Amino acid sequence: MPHDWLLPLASFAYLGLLFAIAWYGDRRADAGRSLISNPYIYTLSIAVYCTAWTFYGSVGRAASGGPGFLPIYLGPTLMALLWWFVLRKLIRISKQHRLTSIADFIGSRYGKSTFLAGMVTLVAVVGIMPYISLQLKAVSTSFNVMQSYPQAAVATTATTFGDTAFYVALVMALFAILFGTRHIDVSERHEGMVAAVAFESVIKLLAFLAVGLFVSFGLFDGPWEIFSRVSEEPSLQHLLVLGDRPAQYIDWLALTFLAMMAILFLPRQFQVAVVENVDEAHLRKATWLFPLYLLLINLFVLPIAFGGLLLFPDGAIDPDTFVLTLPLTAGQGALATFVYLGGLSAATGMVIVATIALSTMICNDLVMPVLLRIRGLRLEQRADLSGLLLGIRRGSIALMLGLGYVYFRLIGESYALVSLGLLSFAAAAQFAPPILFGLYWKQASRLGAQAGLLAGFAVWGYTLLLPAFARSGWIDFGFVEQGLFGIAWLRPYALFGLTGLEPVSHAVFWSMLANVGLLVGVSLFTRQRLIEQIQATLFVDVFHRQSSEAQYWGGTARIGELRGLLTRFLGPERAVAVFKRFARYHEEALDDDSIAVPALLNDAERELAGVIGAASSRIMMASVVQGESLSLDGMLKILDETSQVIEYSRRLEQKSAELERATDELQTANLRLQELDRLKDEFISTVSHELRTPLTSIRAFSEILLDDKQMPSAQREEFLGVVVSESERLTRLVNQVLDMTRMDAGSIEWHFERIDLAKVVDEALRTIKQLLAKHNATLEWVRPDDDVIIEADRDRLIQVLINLLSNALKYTPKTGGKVAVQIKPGQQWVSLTVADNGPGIPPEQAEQVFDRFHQIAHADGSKPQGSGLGLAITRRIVEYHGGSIVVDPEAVEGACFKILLPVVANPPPELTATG
Amino acid sequence: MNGSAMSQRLVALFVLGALVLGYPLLSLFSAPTLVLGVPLLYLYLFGSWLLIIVAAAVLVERSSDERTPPG
Repeated sequence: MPHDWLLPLASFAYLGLLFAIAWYGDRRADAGRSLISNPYIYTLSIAVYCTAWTFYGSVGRAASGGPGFLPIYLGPTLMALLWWFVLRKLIRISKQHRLTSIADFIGSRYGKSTFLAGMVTLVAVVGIMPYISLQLKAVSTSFNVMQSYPQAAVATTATTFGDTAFYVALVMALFAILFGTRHIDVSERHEGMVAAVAFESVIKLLAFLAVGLFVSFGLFDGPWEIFSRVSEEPSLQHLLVLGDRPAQYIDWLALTFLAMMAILFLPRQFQVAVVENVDEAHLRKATWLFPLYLLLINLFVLPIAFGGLLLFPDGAIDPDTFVLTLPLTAGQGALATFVYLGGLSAATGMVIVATIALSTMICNDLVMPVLLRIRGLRLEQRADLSGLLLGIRRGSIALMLGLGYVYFRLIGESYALVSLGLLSFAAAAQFAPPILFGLYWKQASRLGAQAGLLAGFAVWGYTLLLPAFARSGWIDFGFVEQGLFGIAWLRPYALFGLTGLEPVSHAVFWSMLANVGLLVGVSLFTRQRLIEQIQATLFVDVFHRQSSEAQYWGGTARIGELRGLLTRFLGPERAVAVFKRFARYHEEALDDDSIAVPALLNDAERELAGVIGAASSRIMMASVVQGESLSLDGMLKILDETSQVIEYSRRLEQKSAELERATDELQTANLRLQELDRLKDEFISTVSHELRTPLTSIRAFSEILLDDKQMPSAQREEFLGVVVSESERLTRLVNQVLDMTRMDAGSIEWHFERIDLAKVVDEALRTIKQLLAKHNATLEWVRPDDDVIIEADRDRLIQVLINLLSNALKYTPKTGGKVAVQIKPGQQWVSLTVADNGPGIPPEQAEQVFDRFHQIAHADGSKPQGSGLGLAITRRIVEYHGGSIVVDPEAVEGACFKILLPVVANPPPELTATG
Repeated sequence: MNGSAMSQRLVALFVLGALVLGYPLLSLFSAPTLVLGVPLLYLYLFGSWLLIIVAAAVLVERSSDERTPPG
């Protein structure tokens, strides 16, 4: 480079631009106008997958192994097709439970286990550290290449303070701290950071395309020329094919699998794809846009690699640096600088996202659980812990980058880029079994996940990490060649004598076997705790449930204590906002002294989980909630898989019961109809019979009168009298039948008015006077002193009285007959009795007398006069007045009919007031 | 088309893609010959890669059109 100062300047200017973009993104987010809420930014942020390893390493790998670099990108392409199926579920669950990291996710799925979350964090930190140092190495190498050209890049021998990588690490730490831990956020989303990462993804793609086009068309006559020259070069021909050994296809498969897992389960990918996701719907476009991005960034890998091999046949130039050395050789300094910035983008993007993701995990799942358990710190009594949380995160970011730098200085030099990257991929793949089984298999248990993760991690460490240490000279390399303690079947690259595979494929096979095997095996033979079962159900069935169903806090807590807890971790402002939102949503006043409802407890736990992780949140909640922490009701609702089926069958039962009831009613109605039909027939036959009797006698007497002209006039008169009286009886009968049917049909007209019952009786007695005399009976009339006011139809009431009185007279003895009428006023009812001294009514017939056409025979067996409808009509009329009529069973002699009628309430109050 | 149908079609495409980009189909194209000036293996790999992307795009975009009827 012509000017030594130009490159550092460009580097830091570029990083400054990133700061500006991130700052702008955060400001837009604060203003509520998100910069990143669209599928394109989302896709570009996922492209943080393409790191410096892609940028420099792919060419290096292609130059040595031909198509071997492609599975790293074909795997994610295939996985992207499953995103709508898998990633959407991850996002939905994480949003619902406020999960902010992969450790949180796994810990939460397996019963909010602090231990498991901590373990995941450890695996992640140990596994990702080489990857971070790889990025630093890439930046440092590329810087040296740029600075020292045309001499070949020399290995870094500079002191720490003279080393570019050191300063780059510093700036990245600063960026991550500024934009990754700006404040404690309940959703842990960092819009500014995402915006910057998306911008970097654009830059690295453009830079790589630019250098690809330059090599293909600037240095050569199109990629066709490159390919045809390579195919003519015998030493390079092997790069065009995959080889014949099946083991190579197993390596291909293993790499594809690793990359598939890495795109989902690398902590930084989880961060951008799940935690930073704004809208599930963005997944749709990302499903094909992200593979397209991968395709484009790989399009020129082969032309560059082959072009480099053709132009530098002696192998003096490291293929990892072809993207820089090719333009530099051609004197294209500006293009080389642009490419260098692209590589810087790729490296910084990865480091920033990875350290932020890891710092959240270290803080929430490693440090906080420990701090909260140390009683001596009295952490739960501090007023505001959000500062402490931020401090821990910032500290861990600095620590991560520091460690990454140290690792790079100690080990990085001895290793090609690609091997370091695959080391991390294989570590991240250990998260796949607990997550994928956890997403679809409810029985996957905490113990199983722990055993599997532990075993997988151990195998990974033994077969990949330790040999890496050995290669850099930390451990005796003999351990790799002869095996631990010289035992041949413990050789880390050929465990149990398995040979023929690449170290990575070998490690993937054994670690996955251990991980999946133990996860499934242990899960099958252990019982889950209750909280595990609940979480498993909530996770697996996330699409079949309302988020509000996830409520199972059963204990009680004072709202004041809850408020205190949230304030400590969220800060006063956010805590107040949480309570306000809840109060508004549930329309409840939240006094500090009242008991929090379960829904509020669950809300609080979720909010807290967003800040300190699900496991710690649960511990903190348990410190304020008293009593049974799980409500039986809530649990059963969640756990009972068949509850919906039961609900459905319960409804079916209800329906069938209703149907049965309706059928019963119909049957009853039918029976009643049949009975009525029978009654009607009976009625008609009785009426015909009753009509025929007087008609027969009228006809008989009329014929006698017609035939016998010489009949004495006295006899003739007597006969005519019989005809007249029979006709009257006939008329009466017809009238009563008409009355009866009209009453049945409801077509009778009633004229209700307020009347004095005693006066009505007087009137009836006047009418009946002659009849009384005819029967030689005496009347006893007990009249009350006061008026007895009732509401009634006067004419009908008189009809009732006449009916009863004439009935009574009918049964009185020929001499000494006696009829008694009495009114007894009461508070609500007035009783009216009509008694005679006849033979009386046998108790068993006391009800039947009110039936139609029921007549009690005289003592001599003869039928009394009358239609047999009188009492039936009487009862109808009395009942229409709201009263009742019965045969008084206490009558001493003869029959006594007792009528009860409602008395009209006292006169209206205004009358008493004025009077 | 609802999300579930789309999801199923994408899973089917995944299975197809895994077959196309894996052993043994891949070994059929592992020959050091040039087709259209490009090595056969690379032409096959990048070609099927592009086809998978196009198929995924068609599946996803068509389904989102159907999800929101015009007007």
